[in-house]
Amino acid sequence: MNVWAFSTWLVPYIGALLALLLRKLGKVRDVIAVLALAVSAFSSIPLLMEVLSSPERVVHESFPWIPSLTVNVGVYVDPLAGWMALIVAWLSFLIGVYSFKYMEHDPGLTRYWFFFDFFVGSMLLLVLADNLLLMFLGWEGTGLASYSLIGHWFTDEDEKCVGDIGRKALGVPMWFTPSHSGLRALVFTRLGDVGFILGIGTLYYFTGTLSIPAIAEHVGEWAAPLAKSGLLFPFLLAFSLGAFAKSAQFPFHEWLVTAMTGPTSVSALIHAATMVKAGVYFLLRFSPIFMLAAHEVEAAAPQVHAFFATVALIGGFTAFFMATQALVARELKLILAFSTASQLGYMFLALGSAGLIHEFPLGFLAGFSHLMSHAIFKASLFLAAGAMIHAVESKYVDDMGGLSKYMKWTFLSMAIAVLSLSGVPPLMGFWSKDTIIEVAKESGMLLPYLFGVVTAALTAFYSLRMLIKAFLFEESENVRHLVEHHHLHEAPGLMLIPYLSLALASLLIGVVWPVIGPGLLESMVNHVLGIEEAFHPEIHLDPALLATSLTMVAIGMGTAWYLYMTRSGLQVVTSIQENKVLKSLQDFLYDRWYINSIYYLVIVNGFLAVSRLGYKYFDTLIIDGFYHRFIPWITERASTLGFAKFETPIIDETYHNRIVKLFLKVGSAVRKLQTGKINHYLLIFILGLVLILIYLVWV
Amino acid sequence: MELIIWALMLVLGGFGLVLPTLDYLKKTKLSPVLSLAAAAVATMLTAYMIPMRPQTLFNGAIRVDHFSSFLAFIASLGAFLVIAASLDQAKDWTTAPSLYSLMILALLGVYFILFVADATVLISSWALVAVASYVLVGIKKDERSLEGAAKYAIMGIASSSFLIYGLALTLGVLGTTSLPWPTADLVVDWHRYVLIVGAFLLVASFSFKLGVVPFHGWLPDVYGGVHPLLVSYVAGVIKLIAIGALIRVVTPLVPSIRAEWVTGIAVLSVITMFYGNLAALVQKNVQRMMAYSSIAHAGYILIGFYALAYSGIPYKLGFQGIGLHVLTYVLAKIGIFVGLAYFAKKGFDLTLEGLSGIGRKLPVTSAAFTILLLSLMGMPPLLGFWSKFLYLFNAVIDVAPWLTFLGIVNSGISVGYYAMVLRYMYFSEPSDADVKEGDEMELYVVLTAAVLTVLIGLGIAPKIATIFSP
Repeated sequence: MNVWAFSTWLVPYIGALLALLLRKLGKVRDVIAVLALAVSAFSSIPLLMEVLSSPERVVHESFPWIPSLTVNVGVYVDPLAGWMALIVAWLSFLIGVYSFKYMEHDPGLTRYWFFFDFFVGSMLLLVLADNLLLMFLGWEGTGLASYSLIGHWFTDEDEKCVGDIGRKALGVPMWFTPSHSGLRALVFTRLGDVGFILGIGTLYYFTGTLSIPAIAEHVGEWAAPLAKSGLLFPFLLAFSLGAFAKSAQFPFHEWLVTAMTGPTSVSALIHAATMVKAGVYFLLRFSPIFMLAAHEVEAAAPQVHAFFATVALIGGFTAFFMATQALVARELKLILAFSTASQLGYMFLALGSAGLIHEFPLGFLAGFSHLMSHAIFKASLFLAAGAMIHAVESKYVDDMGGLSKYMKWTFLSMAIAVLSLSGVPPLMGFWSKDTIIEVAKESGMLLPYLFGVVTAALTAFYSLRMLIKAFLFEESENVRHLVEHHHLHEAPGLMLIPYLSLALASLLIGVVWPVIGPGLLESMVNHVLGIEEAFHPEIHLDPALLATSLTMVAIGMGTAWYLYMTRSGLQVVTSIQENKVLKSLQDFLYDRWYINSIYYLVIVNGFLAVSRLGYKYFDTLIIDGFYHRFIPWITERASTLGFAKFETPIIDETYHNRIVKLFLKVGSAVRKLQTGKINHYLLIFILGLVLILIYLVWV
Repeated sequence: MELIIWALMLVLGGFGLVLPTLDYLKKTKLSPVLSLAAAAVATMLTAYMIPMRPQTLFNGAIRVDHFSSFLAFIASLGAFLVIAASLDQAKDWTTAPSLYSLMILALLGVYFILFVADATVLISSWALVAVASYVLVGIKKDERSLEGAAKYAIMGIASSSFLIYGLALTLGVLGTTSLPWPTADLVVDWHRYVLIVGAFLLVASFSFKLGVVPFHGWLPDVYGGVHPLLVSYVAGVIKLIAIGALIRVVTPLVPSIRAEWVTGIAVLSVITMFYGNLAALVQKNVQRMMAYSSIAHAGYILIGFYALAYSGIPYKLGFQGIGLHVLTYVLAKIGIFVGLAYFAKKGFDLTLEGLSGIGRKLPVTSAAFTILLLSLMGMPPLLGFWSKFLYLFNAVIDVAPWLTFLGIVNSGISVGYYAMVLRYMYFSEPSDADVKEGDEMELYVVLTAAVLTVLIGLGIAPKIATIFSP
């Protein structure tokens, strides 16, 4: 048995339990919780080494759990899972160290650490699992932890909310309390999970197994029948729906925005570096298998291509769409949240394009390497943002300004990370984003490619805008006030070191990328489940493409610099506020394209109305209608009929008066007798039975 | 085996008959403790019976097999938990001795329905349980309990008459009162139609207890209005007779009426799931919401009965799914209703608003309560996930994928209201009321149910399923 493979994901779970048991011990509990993360991080290294050094490049351990359903507890670690686990475990550990300081004195620490470690365990389980059931367990576990951590500050104080208090768009409130946001996250991602479960069920139905390697091996068993009936495309969409929701792709993106009500350390870990990547990981894991299906089953190819095209389109659109919202955002964390969803869109774009181009592994690597580089610099950005929000006691960038003087190291770290995010060479973010734009271009789909290129400019603009507004702009009222009272300090070491080291990592890896890149990429792609042919990646720069993307970055950064750092630019900014058309455009972006309002107006209210209506309809219309309308009506019909046939006074009297009266009398008598509406209940009982019997016997 | 049945009759029946007389006359307070002991003994005896070889006893009046003794065990466990909870809950009720006596007498009746091997035994034990449960519901004697009891009784009478009529028709065709009915391949022509009518009359009367739409009318009022402690007994113990009777009395008829069975059960299941879940979505009162959730769960269980019309894997998974989901349901509903009774005792209003921030005030009970809600929701790895997704829904995936689909869609809808409860419990500002969890029985009952739900969910569930499956 491979110890590392199990300790990597099991120890955080144990840490979660210990945090619960040691809740009375204060600091000891926190240390233990972080130690569990450290053990996991240090186990992930030998695990990866073992994977890369084994001849098959895989560690597969499995023990029967539920024999009758052929479900195992097992890990399947190929290079993809190994690298991913390494990233997740190390980021979790660093962010754990950061939150040790950041969350100090919080009253809900037991809850915090329990869910934090529980999350890490679940995330690693989802990465390492060798079967769909176990993967789903981890998947749901991360969701559960995410909901509770989003609502960590459940007391819903105003300063913990996301959005401007009191702001409404189309009559729908645009500020969100932590508890409300938790509920939103749960509902949005659960919608996607319904598709995921359906997909798992379908695979099990065709192959009789839940094991992921087995599903890859018997790809024809499920792909062929689905492709023949034309259901492969809908199946792939449904199966990946959970991934779209988890990675906040349009139209599920709304939950991630408001998830920012959680503590910043949580936003960094769950809503930037790891959990939201689970959707991308899902695609990395399964898209090679989908490609196998396209190769082995002839009828499957067009449908698989349609699926990848959809992924590319949605990814590209999400990248663009979320970046536009980041342009005007005023809350530091919101800028980063929009940016996260936008970058996730880039990864989806890469994987979607991968399925359309000649060399699938190239697109795969583009997505995977961007996942890694983004995880590093975005975690750094979020952690730094947490320190800044803490220092200036406000979530708005407008309340910052001039911080470079007071928080030098934070400024340095943020500047590096921002350059990486903008895609400035030679930082890590440049390399990975450039490959994505390259594969998007190769895919032959114009629209996603355009989205990718334009987004590069938007990204550069909003990142630099954020940096300028927070650090270089003249000091705001708030900052001056804090400086006067000597309240403004650099972040303490325990918080600073994690984000500074992440930023430096992003710089260093980027600098040496041309040297180490090919070897690293090769170890990440070869022998991954479903990728059979060896691939030899190389670092090359297409001059035309390089010129395009650098121009875009320059345009974005130049505009930001002009608008916020020069006097004439600032006048332009003011004039935008005065121009009606531009102002309404700004509001449109600020209110997130009104999509949130539309959801509330149409879906939330609509669904409530439908179920209320259904309830009312059933209760009043059908029952009352039947009782008060149908029965009298049928009696009347019967009596007219009878009248025509037997025209005698007695029968007339009977039909017209006695029976009708009898019904009414019985009705009112029973009504008076009963406190509720039991007559109705019995009526449904008997009618229901009679209807069913009639249906079964005569139809 | 016969000895065990005698022992059960003596312990439950004897105590049930003697205790109230003693307590009322001598003013003693023996019933709570002795009833609890009786339920404990019954739980152990029934657990002991599960692995024993199936036997027919008392000249063919009853037959004990793995599944029926498994259900009997769940019923006894449920009764034990509810009686334990009532030690604190019903302390000051004037009717307490009758309450305990009714609980253990009804439990005895439940056994006989589960073990029934002759139609005549079915009628008499059905009457015993039915009457006991009507009284039980109204025993608190406040207005809403009485209202619920009256509705329950009136509908019960209707359903019992269907039971007798259904039995009569079925007997007429098959010509014997002994159960299980002989497999009737010879049923032809109009006999078949009579059999269909008979079988569905039986289905109607049994699913009345289960809360299947359209036979559910009483359920929201009883589950939603009566004291939650009493509801936990009705939901967690009495309801098992419907499952037992359906398995014993109706499913042997399925081979003769397969086509109609499949259609009829599918229709009932789908409307029940949708009605229960949609109605629960608009409830503001948590107790009433849980009543509608019970209806929805009756719909899920019917999916298992749908699978029983087939042979091989669907049959096996369906059968095991019914057993496991009953366990899920009983643990969760007893825990939840006892929990609600506890919340009410602590002065909380049982509406969503009323439970605001209760997670802060009563952390342990709320955590256990949450686990049970999540289990009903089907969150892995809790017991409810196994029974609902991997057994019930999985059972019909080969024969009726659309039914699996509708089941999953319904599970999706149900998240809406379960999550709403959790939201209010944890993410709302608590009231200023000063309450603390004490060393009280209700707390342990809810905790036990939650711990069992987690433990069984961690991989024991499939083992349990193999113990009772045929």
